[in-house]
Amino acid sequence: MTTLVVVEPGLDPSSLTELVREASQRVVVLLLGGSGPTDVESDADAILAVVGESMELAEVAADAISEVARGQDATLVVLPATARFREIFPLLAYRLHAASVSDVLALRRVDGQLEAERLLYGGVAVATVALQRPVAVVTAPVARSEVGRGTPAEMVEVSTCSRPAKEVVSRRPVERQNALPTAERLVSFGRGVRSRDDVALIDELAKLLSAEVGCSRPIVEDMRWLTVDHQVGLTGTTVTPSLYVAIGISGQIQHLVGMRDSKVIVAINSNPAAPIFSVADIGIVGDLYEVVPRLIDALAAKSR
Amino acid sequence: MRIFVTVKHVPDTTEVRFDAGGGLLVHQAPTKINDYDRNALEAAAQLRESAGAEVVIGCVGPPEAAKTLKEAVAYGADRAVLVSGSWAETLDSDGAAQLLAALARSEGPFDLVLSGDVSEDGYDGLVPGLLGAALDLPFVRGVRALSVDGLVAEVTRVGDDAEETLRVSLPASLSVTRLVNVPRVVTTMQVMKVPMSRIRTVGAGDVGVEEATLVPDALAVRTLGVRPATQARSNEMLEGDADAMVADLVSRLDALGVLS
Repeated sequence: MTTLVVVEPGLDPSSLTELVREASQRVVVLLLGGSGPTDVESDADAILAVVGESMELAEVAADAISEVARGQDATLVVLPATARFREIFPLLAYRLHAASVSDVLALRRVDGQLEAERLLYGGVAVATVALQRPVAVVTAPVARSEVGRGTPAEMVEVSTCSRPAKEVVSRRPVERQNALPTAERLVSFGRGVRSRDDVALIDELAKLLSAEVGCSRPIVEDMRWLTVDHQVGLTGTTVTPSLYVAIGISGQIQHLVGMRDSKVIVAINSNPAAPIFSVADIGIVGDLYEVVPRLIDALAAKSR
Repeated sequence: MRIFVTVKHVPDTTEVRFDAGGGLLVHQAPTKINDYDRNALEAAAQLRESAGAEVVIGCVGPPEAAKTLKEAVAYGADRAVLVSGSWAETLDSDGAAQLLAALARSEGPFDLVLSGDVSEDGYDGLVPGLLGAALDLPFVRGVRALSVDGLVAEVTRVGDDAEETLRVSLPASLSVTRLVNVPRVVTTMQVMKVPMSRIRTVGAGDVGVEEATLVPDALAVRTLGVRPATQARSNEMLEGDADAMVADLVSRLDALGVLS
Protein backbone atom coordinates (compact mmCIF):
# COMPACT_ATOMS: atom_id res chain seq x y z
CA MET A 1 0.00 0.00 0.00
CA THR A 2 2.03 2.95 -1.26
CA THR A 3 0.85 6.48 -0.52
CA LEU A 4 2.01 9.41 -2.60
CA VAL A 5 2.18 12.70 -0.68
CA VAL A 6 2.44 15.64 -3.07
CA VAL A 7 3.81 19.06 -2.09
CA GLU A 8 5.47 21.98 -3.81
CA PRO A 9 8.59 23.88 -2.69
CA GLY A 10 7.74 25.87 0.45
CA LEU A 11 5.18 23.40 1.81
CA ASP A 12 6.00 21.11 4.72
CA PRO A 13 4.78 17.53 4.00
CA SER A 14 4.90 16.43 7.66
CA SER A 15 1.19 16.97 8.47
CA LEU A 16 0.29 14.91 5.40
CA THR A 17 2.74 12.06 6.04
CA GLU A 18 1.48 11.99 9.65
CA LEU A 19 -2.14 11.75 8.46
CA VAL A 20 -1.50 8.74 6.20
CA ARG A 21 1.06 6.83 8.29
CA GLU A 22 -1.33 4.26 9.73
CA ALA A 23 -3.11 3.69 6.44
CA SER A 24 0.10 3.19 4.42
CA GLN A 25 2.95 0.68 4.26
CA ARG A 26 5.19 2.96 2.21
CA VAL A 27 5.08 6.74 1.91
CA VAL A 28 6.61 8.55 -1.05
CA VAL A 29 6.84 12.33 -1.10
CA LEU A 30 6.57 13.96 -4.53
CA LEU A 31 7.74 17.52 -4.95
CA LEU A 32 5.87 19.18 -7.78
CA GLY A 33 8.09 21.20 -10.07
CA GLY A 34 9.46 24.63 -9.93
CA SER A 35 12.75 26.12 -10.93
CA GLY A 36 13.98 26.42 -7.33
CA PRO A 37 15.61 23.87 -5.01
CA THR A 38 14.12 20.40 -4.78
CA ASP A 39 14.99 19.64 -1.16
CA VAL A 40 12.39 18.33 1.25
CA GLU A 41 12.61 17.68 4.96
CA SER A 42 10.73 14.44 5.49
CA ASP A 43 11.01 10.97 6.99
CA ALA A 44 9.23 9.42 4.00
CA ASP A 45 10.54 6.21 2.39
CA ALA A 46 11.41 8.04 -0.81
CA ILE A 47 11.50 11.63 -1.98
CA LEU A 48 10.91 12.31 -5.64
CA ALA A 49 10.63 15.48 -7.68
CA VAL A 50 9.06 16.12 -11.01
CA VAL A 51 9.74 19.23 -13.04
CA GLY A 52 8.49 20.11 -16.47
CA GLU A 53 7.13 22.76 -18.75
CA SER A 54 3.75 24.37 -18.11
CA MET A 55 3.51 22.67 -14.71
CA GLU A 56 1.65 25.79 -13.50
CA LEU A 57 -1.33 24.58 -15.52
CA ALA A 58 -3.49 22.25 -13.45
CA GLU A 59 -4.10 19.81 -16.31
CA VAL A 60 -0.35 19.35 -16.89
CA ALA A 61 0.32 18.94 -13.17
CA ALA A 62 -2.53 16.41 -12.86
CA ASP A 63 -1.05 14.40 -15.76
CA ALA A 64 2.39 14.39 -14.15
CA ILE A 65 1.11 13.39 -10.71
CA SER A 66 -1.10 10.64 -12.12
CA GLU A 67 1.83 9.22 -14.08
CA VAL A 68 4.04 9.12 -10.99
CA ALA A 69 1.16 7.67 -8.92
CA ARG A 70 0.71 4.84 -11.42
CA GLY A 71 4.47 4.26 -11.64
CA GLN A 72 4.63 3.96 -7.85
CA ASP A 73 1.51 1.77 -7.66
CA ALA A 74 0.04 4.28 -5.24
CA THR A 75 -3.38 3.45 -3.86
CA LEU A 76 -3.65 6.78 -2.04
CA VAL A 77 -2.58 10.26 -3.16
CA VAL A 78 -2.62 13.16 -0.70
CA LEU A 79 -2.62 16.77 -1.85
CA PRO A 80 -2.21 19.94 0.23
CA ALA A 81 -5.40 21.98 0.63
CA THR A 82 -3.94 25.08 -1.04
CA ALA A 83 -5.39 27.09 -3.95
CA ARG A 84 -3.05 25.49 -6.49
CA PHE A 85 -3.76 21.94 -5.41
CA ARG A 86 -7.52 22.47 -5.01
CA GLU A 87 -7.62 23.06 -8.76
CA ILE A 88 -5.44 20.03 -9.53
CA PHE A 89 -7.47 17.82 -7.12
CA PRO A 90 -10.58 17.02 -9.24
CA LEU A 91 -8.53 16.74 -12.43
CA LEU A 92 -6.24 14.20 -10.79
CA ALA A 93 -9.19 12.33 -9.27
CA TYR A 94 -10.74 12.05 -12.73
CA ARG A 95 -7.49 10.78 -14.31
CA LEU A 96 -7.01 8.12 -11.63
CA HIS A 97 -10.73 7.22 -11.55
CA ALA A 98 -10.32 7.72 -7.83
CA ALA A 99 -12.58 8.06 -4.82
CA SER A 100 -11.90 11.61 -3.67
CA VAL A 101 -12.49 13.39 -0.38
CA SER A 102 -11.40 16.92 0.49
CA ASP A 103 -10.11 18.35 3.76
CA VAL A 104 -9.93 15.07 5.61
CA LEU A 105 -9.54 15.11 9.39
CA ALA A 106 -8.61 11.43 9.75
CA LEU A 107 -7.85 8.41 7.59
CA ARG A 108 -7.83 4.71 8.45
CA ARG A 109 -8.16 1.31 6.86
CA VAL A 110 -11.02 -0.88 8.03
CA ASP A 111 -10.85 -4.45 6.66
CA GLY A 112 -8.64 -3.18 3.86
CA GLN A 113 -11.03 -0.39 2.89
CA LEU A 114 -10.03 3.21 3.34
CA GLU A 115 -12.30 5.37 5.51
CA ALA A 116 -12.05 9.12 5.98
CA GLU A 117 -13.62 11.73 8.23
CA ARG A 118 -14.50 15.23 7.10
CA LEU A 119 -16.66 18.13 8.22
CA LEU A 120 -20.09 18.62 6.69
CA TYR A 121 -22.95 21.14 6.77
CA GLY A 122 -20.92 24.17 7.69
CA GLY A 123 -18.94 22.42 10.41
CA VAL A 124 -21.76 21.17 12.65
CA ALA A 125 -21.29 17.58 11.52
CA VAL A 126 -18.49 15.08 10.92
CA ALA A 127 -19.13 12.55 8.16
CA THR A 128 -17.41 9.18 8.01
CA VAL A 129 -17.09 8.01 4.43
CA ALA A 130 -15.88 4.84 2.71
CA LEU A 131 -13.59 5.29 -0.29
CA GLN A 132 -14.82 2.54 -2.61
CA ARG A 133 -12.38 2.69 -5.51
CA PRO A 134 -8.94 1.01 -5.85
CA VAL A 135 -7.30 4.46 -5.75
CA ALA A 136 -8.16 7.39 -3.48
CA VAL A 137 -7.18 11.07 -3.68
CA VAL A 138 -7.63 13.34 -0.66
CA THR A 139 -6.64 16.85 0.41
CA ALA A 140 -5.58 18.02 3.88
CA PRO A 141 -4.16 21.22 5.40
CA VAL A 142 -0.40 21.81 5.40
CA ALA A 143 2.00 24.27 6.96
CA ARG A 144 4.61 26.25 5.05
CA SER A 145 8.30 25.46 5.44
CA GLU A 146 11.61 26.93 4.47
CA VAL A 147 12.76 26.17 0.96
CA GLY A 148 16.11 24.56 0.32
CA ARG A 149 16.89 22.35 3.29
CA GLY A 150 16.49 18.66 3.85
CA THR A 151 17.05 15.77 1.51
CA PRO A 152 17.57 16.47 -2.19
CA ALA A 153 14.83 14.76 -4.13
CA GLU A 154 15.37 12.17 -6.81
CA MET A 155 14.22 13.53 -10.17
CA VAL A 156 11.64 11.52 -12.09
CA GLU A 157 10.79 11.95 -15.74
CA VAL A 158 7.22 12.06 -16.96
CA SER A 159 6.16 11.56 -20.52
CA THR A 160 2.62 12.88 -20.56
CA CYS A 161 2.09 16.32 -21.99
CA SER A 162 -1.45 17.60 -21.98
CA ARG A 163 -1.82 20.82 -23.90
CA PRO A 164 -4.82 22.47 -22.32
CA ALA A 165 -6.27 25.34 -24.33
CA LYS A 166 -5.28 27.93 -21.77
CA GLU A 167 -2.26 30.03 -20.84
CA VAL A 168 -1.21 32.27 -17.99
CA VAL A 169 -0.86 35.74 -19.52
CA SER A 170 0.12 37.65 -16.39
CA ARG A 171 1.15 36.88 -12.86
CA ARG A 172 1.44 39.48 -10.14
CA PRO A 173 2.75 38.43 -6.73
CA VAL A 174 0.27 39.41 -4.03
CA GLU A 175 1.96 41.04 -1.06
CA ARG A 176 0.35 40.06 2.17
CA GLN A 177 -0.67 43.10 4.20
CA ASN A 178 -0.46 41.27 7.53
CA ALA A 179 1.27 38.43 9.36
CA LEU A 180 -1.75 36.13 9.70
CA PRO A 181 0.04 32.81 9.01
CA THR A 182 2.63 33.40 11.75
CA ALA A 183 0.57 35.54 14.17
CA GLU A 184 0.96 34.68 17.84
CA ARG A 185 -2.46 36.15 18.66
CA LEU A 186 -5.42 36.72 16.37
CA VAL A 187 -8.71 38.55 16.79
CA SER A 188 -11.14 37.48 14.10
CA PHE A 189 -14.65 38.74 13.40
CA GLY A 190 -17.65 37.74 11.33
CA ARG A 191 -21.14 38.80 10.38
CA GLY A 192 -22.02 39.56 13.98
CA VAL A 193 -20.29 42.90 13.47
CA ARG A 194 -23.09 45.04 12.11
CA SER A 195 -21.37 47.90 10.34
CA ARG A 196 -18.04 48.75 8.81
CA ASP A 197 -17.49 51.48 11.39
CA ASP A 198 -17.70 48.89 14.15
CA VAL A 199 -14.55 47.18 12.86
CA ALA A 200 -12.73 49.90 14.83
CA LEU A 201 -13.84 48.05 17.97
CA ILE A 202 -12.14 44.86 16.73
CA ASP A 203 -9.01 46.82 15.77
CA GLU A 204 -8.85 48.34 19.24
CA LEU A 205 -9.12 44.95 20.93
CA ALA A 206 -6.46 43.53 18.58
CA LYS A 207 -4.13 46.39 19.38
CA LEU A 208 -4.45 45.78 23.11
CA LEU A 209 -3.71 42.07 22.63
CA SER A 210 -0.87 42.75 20.14
CA ALA A 211 -2.91 40.61 17.79
CA GLU A 212 -3.45 40.52 14.04
CA VAL A 213 -7.00 41.03 12.71
CA GLY A 214 -8.64 38.24 10.76
CA CYS A 215 -12.19 37.65 9.58
CA SER A 216 -14.59 35.06 8.22
CA ARG A 217 -15.53 34.63 4.57
CA PRO A 218 -18.68 36.86 4.47
CA ILE A 219 -16.65 39.86 5.63
CA VAL A 220 -14.51 39.55 2.50
CA GLU A 221 -16.98 38.12 0.00
CA ASP A 222 -20.33 39.63 0.98
CA MET A 223 -19.50 42.77 2.93
CA ARG A 224 -16.15 43.39 1.18
CA TRP A 225 -14.84 45.25 4.23
CA LEU A 226 -11.43 43.53 4.28
CA THR A 227 -9.14 42.02 1.64
CA VAL A 228 -8.84 38.27 1.24
CA ASP A 229 -5.46 38.14 3.05
CA HIS A 230 -7.43 38.75 6.27
CA GLN A 231 -9.72 35.79 5.63
CA VAL A 232 -9.21 32.77 7.87
CA GLY A 233 -10.37 29.46 6.45
CA LEU A 234 -10.44 27.19 3.45
CA THR A 235 -10.36 29.88 0.79
CA GLY A 236 -8.26 32.11 3.01
CA THR A 237 -5.37 31.44 5.34
CA THR A 238 -4.83 28.56 7.76
CA VAL A 239 -3.69 29.92 11.12
CA THR A 240 -2.30 28.35 14.30
CA PRO A 241 -1.88 31.18 16.85
CA SER A 242 -1.58 30.55 20.57
CA LEU A 243 -4.71 32.69 21.10
CA TYR A 244 -7.61 32.91 18.65
CA VAL A 245 -10.55 35.14 19.58
CA ALA A 246 -13.58 34.60 17.32
CA ILE A 247 -16.08 37.43 17.58
CA GLY A 248 -19.51 37.22 15.94
CA ILE A 249 -18.40 34.24 13.85
CA SER A 250 -20.92 31.38 13.57
CA GLY A 251 -18.24 28.82 12.64
CA GLN A 252 -18.93 27.50 9.15
CA ILE A 253 -16.71 24.62 7.85
CA GLN A 254 -14.90 27.12 5.71
CA HIS A 255 -13.74 28.96 8.79
CA LEU A 256 -13.24 26.11 11.27
CA VAL A 257 -10.86 24.22 9.01
CA GLY A 258 -8.59 27.26 8.95
CA MET A 259 -8.31 27.85 12.72
CA ARG A 260 -9.10 24.62 14.56
CA ASP A 261 -5.43 24.00 15.38
CA SER A 262 -5.05 27.23 17.34
CA LYS A 263 -3.79 26.63 20.89
CA VAL A 264 -6.50 28.48 22.83
CA ILE A 265 -9.77 29.39 21.12
CA VAL A 266 -12.18 31.92 22.59
CA ALA A 267 -15.63 32.37 21.00
CA ILE A 268 -17.97 35.29 21.58
CA ASN A 269 -21.36 34.89 19.91
CA SER A 270 -24.97 35.74 20.70
CA ASN A 271 -26.26 32.41 19.35
CA PRO A 272 -25.64 29.59 21.88
CA ALA A 273 -26.09 27.00 19.08
CA ALA A 274 -23.34 28.47 16.88
CA PRO A 275 -20.90 25.72 15.76
CA ILE A 276 -17.95 27.93 16.76
CA PHE A 277 -18.60 27.00 20.42
CA SER A 278 -17.92 23.33 19.66
CA VAL A 279 -14.28 24.14 18.80
CA ALA A 280 -13.82 26.73 21.54
CA ASP A 281 -11.94 26.31 24.81
CA ILE A 282 -13.78 29.25 26.34
CA GLY A 283 -17.18 30.45 25.17
CA ILE A 284 -19.13 33.60 25.95
CA VAL A 285 -22.75 33.68 24.86
CA GLY A 286 -23.52 37.34 24.60
CA ASP A 287 -23.89 40.45 22.49
CA LEU A 288 -20.46 41.38 21.18
CA TYR A 289 -21.43 45.04 21.52
CA GLU A 290 -21.69 44.48 25.26
CA VAL A 291 -18.79 42.07 25.68
CA VAL A 292 -16.06 43.56 23.48
CA PRO A 293 -16.08 47.11 24.94
CA ARG A 294 -15.85 45.60 28.44
CA LEU A 295 -13.01 43.35 27.32
CA ILE A 296 -11.21 46.39 25.89
CA ASP A 297 -11.64 48.23 29.20
CA ALA A 298 -10.45 45.23 31.20
CA LEU A 299 -7.33 44.74 29.07
CA ALA A 300 -6.58 48.47 29.04
CA ALA A 301 -6.84 48.58 32.84
CA LYS A 302 -4.59 45.53 33.10
CA SER A 303 -1.86 47.07 30.93
CA ARG A 304 -1.79 50.28 32.95
CA MET B 1 -23.00 31.31 -27.64
CA ARG B 2 -24.43 28.58 -25.38
CA ILE B 3 -23.77 28.45 -21.63
CA PHE B 4 -24.36 25.58 -19.21
CA VAL B 5 -24.68 26.66 -15.57
CA THR B 6 -24.69 24.13 -12.75
CA VAL B 7 -26.86 24.80 -9.72
CA LYS B 8 -27.10 22.88 -6.45
CA HIS B 9 -30.14 22.78 -4.20
CA VAL B 10 -28.73 22.81 -0.64
CA PRO B 11 -29.99 22.92 2.94
CA ASP B 12 -29.36 26.21 4.72
CA THR B 13 -26.37 24.94 6.70
CA THR B 14 -26.81 27.54 9.43
CA GLU B 15 -30.11 25.77 10.26
CA VAL B 16 -28.85 22.17 10.29
CA ARG B 17 -29.16 20.73 13.81
CA PHE B 18 -28.84 17.46 15.66
CA ASP B 19 -31.50 16.07 17.95
CA ALA B 20 -30.66 15.04 21.52
CA GLY B 21 -29.75 11.51 20.37
CA GLY B 22 -27.22 12.78 17.83
CA GLY B 23 -29.57 12.26 14.87
CA LEU B 24 -29.15 14.75 12.04
CA LEU B 25 -32.14 17.02 11.46
CA VAL B 26 -31.11 18.09 7.96
CA HIS B 27 -34.61 17.65 6.52
CA GLN B 28 -36.01 20.30 8.83
CA ALA B 29 -33.58 22.91 7.54
CA PRO B 30 -34.90 25.30 4.89
CA THR B 31 -33.42 24.81 1.41
CA LYS B 32 -31.95 27.33 -1.01
CA ILE B 33 -29.77 27.85 -4.09
CA ASN B 34 -26.12 27.33 -3.21
CA ASP B 35 -24.78 30.89 -2.76
CA TYR B 36 -21.78 30.37 -5.06
CA ASP B 37 -24.10 29.26 -7.85
CA ARG B 38 -25.88 32.64 -7.72
CA ASN B 39 -22.63 34.19 -8.90
CA ALA B 40 -22.36 31.64 -11.72
CA LEU B 41 -25.98 32.43 -12.68
CA GLU B 42 -25.26 36.17 -12.59
CA ALA B 43 -22.17 35.74 -14.81
CA ALA B 44 -24.25 33.75 -17.31
CA ALA B 45 -27.09 36.28 -17.20
CA GLN B 46 -24.65 39.11 -17.94
CA LEU B 47 -23.24 37.25 -20.96
CA ARG B 48 -26.79 36.51 -22.11
CA GLU B 49 -27.60 40.20 -21.99
CA SER B 50 -24.36 41.43 -23.57
CA ALA B 51 -23.66 38.71 -26.12
CA GLY B 52 -27.05 37.08 -26.62
CA ALA B 53 -26.09 33.75 -25.10
CA GLU B 54 -28.53 30.91 -24.52
CA VAL B 55 -28.34 29.79 -20.88
CA VAL B 56 -29.31 26.28 -19.79
CA ILE B 57 -29.19 25.35 -16.11
CA GLY B 58 -28.26 21.82 -15.06
CA CYS B 59 -28.99 20.41 -11.62
CA VAL B 60 -28.72 17.02 -9.94
CA GLY B 61 -30.85 16.61 -6.87
CA PRO B 62 -34.11 15.57 -5.22
CA PRO B 63 -37.48 16.38 -6.90
CA GLU B 64 -37.89 19.43 -4.57
CA ALA B 65 -34.92 21.02 -6.34
CA ALA B 66 -37.38 22.05 -9.10
CA LYS B 67 -38.43 24.86 -6.74
CA THR B 68 -34.83 26.08 -6.50
CA LEU B 69 -34.52 25.90 -10.29
CA LYS B 70 -37.53 28.18 -10.72
CA GLU B 71 -35.62 30.80 -8.77
CA ALA B 72 -32.42 30.03 -10.71
CA VAL B 73 -34.17 30.58 -14.06
CA ALA B 74 -35.42 33.95 -12.80
CA TYR B 75 -31.80 35.19 -12.68
CA GLY B 76 -31.86 35.22 -16.46
CA ALA B 77 -31.70 31.73 -17.95
CA ASP B 78 -33.67 30.18 -20.79
CA ARG B 79 -34.50 26.92 -19.06
CA ALA B 80 -33.38 24.35 -16.52
CA VAL B 81 -33.09 20.58 -16.44
CA LEU B 82 -33.16 18.61 -13.18
CA VAL B 83 -31.78 15.08 -13.11
CA SER B 84 -33.51 13.37 -10.22
CA GLY B 85 -34.11 9.95 -8.75
CA SER B 86 -34.31 7.96 -5.54
CA TRP B 87 -30.47 7.87 -5.51
CA ALA B 88 -30.21 11.66 -5.15
CA GLU B 89 -30.00 11.80 -1.37
CA THR B 90 -26.93 9.57 -1.01
CA LEU B 91 -25.13 10.63 -4.19
CA ASP B 92 -21.41 11.58 -4.06
CA SER B 93 -19.60 14.33 -5.98
CA ASP B 94 -18.31 11.86 -8.55
CA GLY B 95 -21.83 10.67 -9.37
CA ALA B 96 -23.16 14.23 -9.52
CA ALA B 97 -20.38 15.25 -11.92
CA GLN B 98 -20.99 12.19 -14.07
CA LEU B 99 -24.71 13.02 -14.36
CA LEU B 100 -24.02 16.71 -15.08
CA ALA B 101 -21.52 15.73 -17.78
CA ALA B 102 -24.06 13.38 -19.36
CA LEU B 103 -26.69 16.12 -19.22
CA ALA B 104 -24.33 18.71 -20.73
CA ARG B 105 -23.56 16.29 -23.56
CA SER B 106 -27.23 15.59 -24.29
CA GLU B 107 -28.18 19.31 -24.15
CA GLY B 108 -24.93 20.52 -25.74
CA PRO B 109 -22.66 21.46 -27.22
CA PHE B 110 -21.89 24.39 -24.92
CA ASP B 111 -19.23 27.07 -25.31
CA LEU B 112 -18.97 27.74 -21.59
CA VAL B 113 -19.68 25.68 -18.47
CA LEU B 114 -20.06 27.82 -15.33
CA SER B 115 -20.24 26.58 -11.74
CA GLY B 116 -19.81 27.99 -8.25
CA ASP B 117 -16.43 27.10 -6.70
CA VAL B 118 -17.96 24.99 -3.92
CA SER B 119 -21.32 24.03 -2.44
CA GLU B 120 -22.25 25.21 1.03
CA ASP B 121 -23.26 21.79 2.34
CA GLY B 122 -20.44 19.50 1.22
CA TYR B 123 -17.80 22.12 0.50
CA ASP B 124 -15.49 19.75 -1.36
CA GLY B 125 -15.25 21.79 -4.57
CA LEU B 126 -14.90 18.62 -6.66
CA VAL B 127 -17.85 18.76 -9.04
CA PRO B 128 -16.77 21.69 -11.28
CA GLY B 129 -13.33 20.19 -11.99
CA LEU B 130 -14.65 16.62 -12.39
CA LEU B 131 -17.25 18.00 -14.82
CA GLY B 132 -14.63 19.94 -16.80
CA ALA B 133 -12.39 16.86 -16.96
CA ALA B 134 -15.28 14.59 -18.00
CA LEU B 135 -16.18 16.99 -20.83
CA ASP B 136 -12.47 17.27 -21.74
CA LEU B 137 -12.55 21.06 -21.36
CA PRO B 138 -9.82 23.32 -19.98
CA PHE B 139 -10.73 24.16 -16.38
CA VAL B 140 -10.04 27.18 -14.18
CA ARG B 141 -11.07 27.34 -10.54
CA GLY B 142 -11.42 30.38 -8.29
CA VAL B 143 -12.41 32.85 -11.01
CA ARG B 144 -12.93 36.34 -9.59
CA ALA B 145 -13.07 38.31 -12.86
CA LEU B 146 -14.37 37.08 -16.18
CA SER B 147 -14.69 38.56 -19.65
CA VAL B 148 -15.49 36.77 -22.89
CA ASP B 149 -14.41 38.05 -26.27
CA GLY B 150 -15.44 35.84 -29.14
CA LEU B 151 -14.06 32.40 -28.48
CA VAL B 152 -11.64 33.38 -25.72
CA ALA B 153 -12.36 33.93 -22.02
CA GLU B 154 -10.01 36.03 -19.95
CA VAL B 155 -10.16 35.19 -16.27
CA THR B 156 -8.43 36.43 -13.15
CA ARG B 157 -7.94 34.43 -10.00
CA VAL B 158 -5.89 34.74 -6.85
CA GLY B 159 -3.65 31.78 -6.10
CA ASP B 160 -1.60 31.04 -3.01
CA ASP B 161 0.79 33.94 -3.49
CA ALA B 162 -0.08 35.63 -6.78
CA GLU B 163 -2.88 37.06 -8.82
CA GLU B 164 -3.00 35.39 -12.22
CA THR B 165 -4.75 36.28 -15.44
CA LEU B 166 -5.35 33.39 -17.81
CA ARG B 167 -6.58 33.27 -21.37
CA VAL B 168 -8.73 30.22 -21.99
CA SER B 169 -10.01 29.08 -25.36
CA LEU B 170 -13.69 28.19 -25.47
CA PRO B 171 -15.24 25.76 -24.96
CA ALA B 172 -14.09 25.85 -21.34
CA SER B 173 -15.24 25.04 -17.83
CA LEU B 174 -14.89 27.70 -15.12
CA SER B 175 -15.84 27.82 -11.46
CA VAL B 176 -16.37 31.22 -9.89
CA THR B 177 -15.91 32.76 -6.45
CA ARG B 178 -18.34 35.07 -4.69
CA LEU B 179 -16.18 38.02 -5.79
CA VAL B 180 -16.74 37.60 -9.53
CA ASN B 181 -19.88 39.80 -9.44
CA VAL B 182 -22.75 40.92 -7.25
CA PRO B 183 -25.78 38.73 -8.03
CA ARG B 184 -28.92 40.67 -8.90
CA VAL B 185 -31.84 40.64 -6.51
CA VAL B 186 -34.54 38.32 -7.78
CA THR B 187 -38.00 39.20 -6.45
CA THR B 188 -40.68 36.69 -5.43
CA MET B 189 -42.80 38.08 -8.25
CA GLN B 190 -40.06 37.37 -10.81
CA VAL B 191 -39.73 33.81 -9.48
CA MET B 192 -43.52 33.30 -9.63
CA LYS B 193 -43.59 34.46 -13.25
CA VAL B 194 -41.20 31.70 -14.36
CA PRO B 195 -43.46 29.09 -16.00
CA MET B 196 -42.88 25.53 -14.77
CA SER B 197 -42.65 24.54 -18.45
CA ARG B 198 -39.13 25.97 -18.46
CA ILE B 199 -38.06 23.42 -15.86
CA ARG B 200 -37.83 19.82 -16.98
CA THR B 201 -37.17 16.87 -14.69
CA VAL B 202 -35.52 13.78 -16.15
CA GLY B 203 -34.17 10.50 -14.75
CA ALA B 204 -30.60 9.20 -14.87
CA GLY B 205 -31.53 6.82 -17.68
CA ASP B 206 -32.75 9.75 -19.80
CA VAL B 207 -29.18 11.11 -19.92
CA GLY B 208 -27.67 7.67 -20.42
CA VAL B 209 -26.46 6.90 -16.91
CA GLU B 210 -27.45 3.56 -15.38
CA GLU B 211 -29.21 3.95 -12.02
CA ALA B 212 -27.34 0.90 -10.74
CA THR B 213 -24.11 2.94 -10.78
CA LEU B 214 -25.64 5.54 -8.46
CA VAL B 215 -26.64 3.36 -5.51
CA PRO B 216 -24.48 3.73 -2.37
CA ASP B 217 -22.52 0.48 -2.85
CA ALA B 218 -21.53 1.47 -6.39
CA LEU B 219 -20.42 5.03 -5.59
CA ALA B 220 -16.81 6.20 -5.33
CA VAL B 221 -17.56 7.66 -1.89
CA ARG B 222 -20.27 6.25 0.37
CA THR B 223 -21.31 8.05 3.53
CA LEU B 224 -21.24 5.63 6.46
CA GLY B 225 -22.43 7.99 9.16
CA VAL B 226 -22.75 11.57 10.30
CA ARG B 227 -22.27 12.70 13.89
CA PRO B 228 -22.17 16.06 15.67
CA ALA B 229 -18.76 17.73 15.41
CA THR B 230 -17.07 17.85 18.77
CA GLN B 231 -13.50 18.66 19.45
CA ALA B 232 -11.05 17.75 22.13
CA ARG B 233 -11.65 21.19 23.59
CA SER B 234 -12.81 22.14 27.01
CA ASN B 235 -15.86 24.05 25.67
CA GLU B 236 -16.12 25.97 28.92
CA MET B 237 -19.06 28.34 28.70
CA LEU B 238 -18.69 31.33 30.98
CA GLU B 239 -21.62 32.45 33.07
CA GLY B 240 -22.92 35.59 34.67
CA ASP B 241 -23.44 39.08 33.27
CA ALA B 242 -21.16 40.65 30.68
CA ASP B 243 -18.87 42.18 33.33
CA ALA B 244 -18.47 38.90 35.18
CA MET B 245 -17.80 36.91 32.00
CA VAL B 246 -15.19 39.39 30.80
CA ALA B 247 -13.39 39.38 34.16
CA ASP B 248 -13.47 35.58 34.17
CA LEU B 249 -12.15 35.48 30.59
CA VAL B 250 -9.23 37.81 31.28
CA SER B 251 -8.14 35.87 34.36
CA ARG B 252 -8.37 32.53 32.50
CA LEU B 253 -6.34 33.86 29.54
CA ASP B 254 -3.80 35.27 31.96
CA ALA B 255 -3.52 31.90 33.69
CA LEU B 256 -3.09 30.15 30.34
CA GLY B 257 -0.24 32.53 29.56
CA VAL B 258 -1.58 33.57 26.17
CA LEU B 259 -1.80 37.31 26.84
CA SER B 260 1.11 39.44 25.75
